[in-house]
Amino acid sequence: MIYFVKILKKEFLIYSRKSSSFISPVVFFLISISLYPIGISNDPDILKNLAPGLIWITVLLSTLISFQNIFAEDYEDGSIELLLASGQNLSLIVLIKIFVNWIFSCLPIIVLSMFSIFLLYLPIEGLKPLIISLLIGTPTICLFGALAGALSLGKNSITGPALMLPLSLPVLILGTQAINYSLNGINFSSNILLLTAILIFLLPIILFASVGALKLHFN
Amino acid sequence: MLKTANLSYKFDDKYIFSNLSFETTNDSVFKLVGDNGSGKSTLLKILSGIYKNYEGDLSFSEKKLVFYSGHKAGLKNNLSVRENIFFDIRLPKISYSQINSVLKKLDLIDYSDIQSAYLSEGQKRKINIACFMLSTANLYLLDEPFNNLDRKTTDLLKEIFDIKISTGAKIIFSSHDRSNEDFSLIDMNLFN
Repeated sequence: MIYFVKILKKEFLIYSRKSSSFISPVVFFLISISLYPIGISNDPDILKNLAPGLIWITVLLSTLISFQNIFAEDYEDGSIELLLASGQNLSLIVLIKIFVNWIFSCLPIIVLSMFSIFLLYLPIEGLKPLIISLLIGTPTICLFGALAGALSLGKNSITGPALMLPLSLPVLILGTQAINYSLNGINFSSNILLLTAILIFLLPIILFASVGALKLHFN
Repeated sequence: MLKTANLSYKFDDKYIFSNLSFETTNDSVFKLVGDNGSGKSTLLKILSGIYKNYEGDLSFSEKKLVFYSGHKAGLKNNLSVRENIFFDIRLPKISYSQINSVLKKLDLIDYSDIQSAYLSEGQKRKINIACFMLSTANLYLLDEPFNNLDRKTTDLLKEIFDIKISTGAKIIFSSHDRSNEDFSLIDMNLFN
């Protein structure tokens, strides 16, 4: 257990000192959200209808910036070799890394997404499904990001996003639909339950696959 | 405690080394020598468990606690020297005072709060030696540990070897230097 606490503390310390890991996605998100009213339309009715999709797509693209950080540095500096040699449970270590990455790269974006009420004229009743769907959907996106990051280690930077984006489409659709349902007065709980089910179902599978992908680079 | 029998490793259908057999029963320190590409680092990675797809047998007679040190030190650039050691995955729970005493011996105490990004290669090697000193493993696998070290640190490292041996630990390390006859030599060129 001591090893996992040690890794958790170490990851928090590394991310907190590496400001780019959490500032870059946040800045990208804020700039994109601010540009939509300028680039698309400043008509509140048009923006209100587009807001759920725009927010979710922007969140998805913002996370692309950060997920390469999950393993790339560890691969470069030899940390993954040491983890493999340590004989510790790699799945748990990968889970810690994904969790810390989510805390630093997704959580600030989820908080900032509340500004979309002002920038994209998202009605207040859309706020609850937006936050809930992002809280449940973004960990799944991080899982896909970790898998793509593990598979594309040492390869060009387009490989990871090319793997991750198609996998994330169901989450994007369900998340956007949850907000739209809420705005139209339809119960959105089925979407949230589906997002939760996807997360629970994929968590062990993707952890296992990510560990396999990491080991693949050493065989 | 460690025994290999007909150990072979191939990459792209070409054997890096083949039919390597040895055991660490009588001797405590083994020095892997050989030309570049003869498989010294590969063997250390197999013994540490990083590489799995080898041929032949590899067995440990007791519970292995491995300390592996490769060419890359696994240091985090934005952590200080002390933090890098404190959070090293290979070490048990250690205190800052233990780290400080080791850093004093290695003349690194003045750099303990400096981020490792600002250190020279030699100083980074010293951090790895600090971890080696603090480790309680029973099998040490060190890839060219004497590289980039000054005379004083080289002598200190040899002293640490003696201390580790006295605790019953085994050390297997790679080197290009064939001159030292104090250790059991494994010539990887013979298995290519």
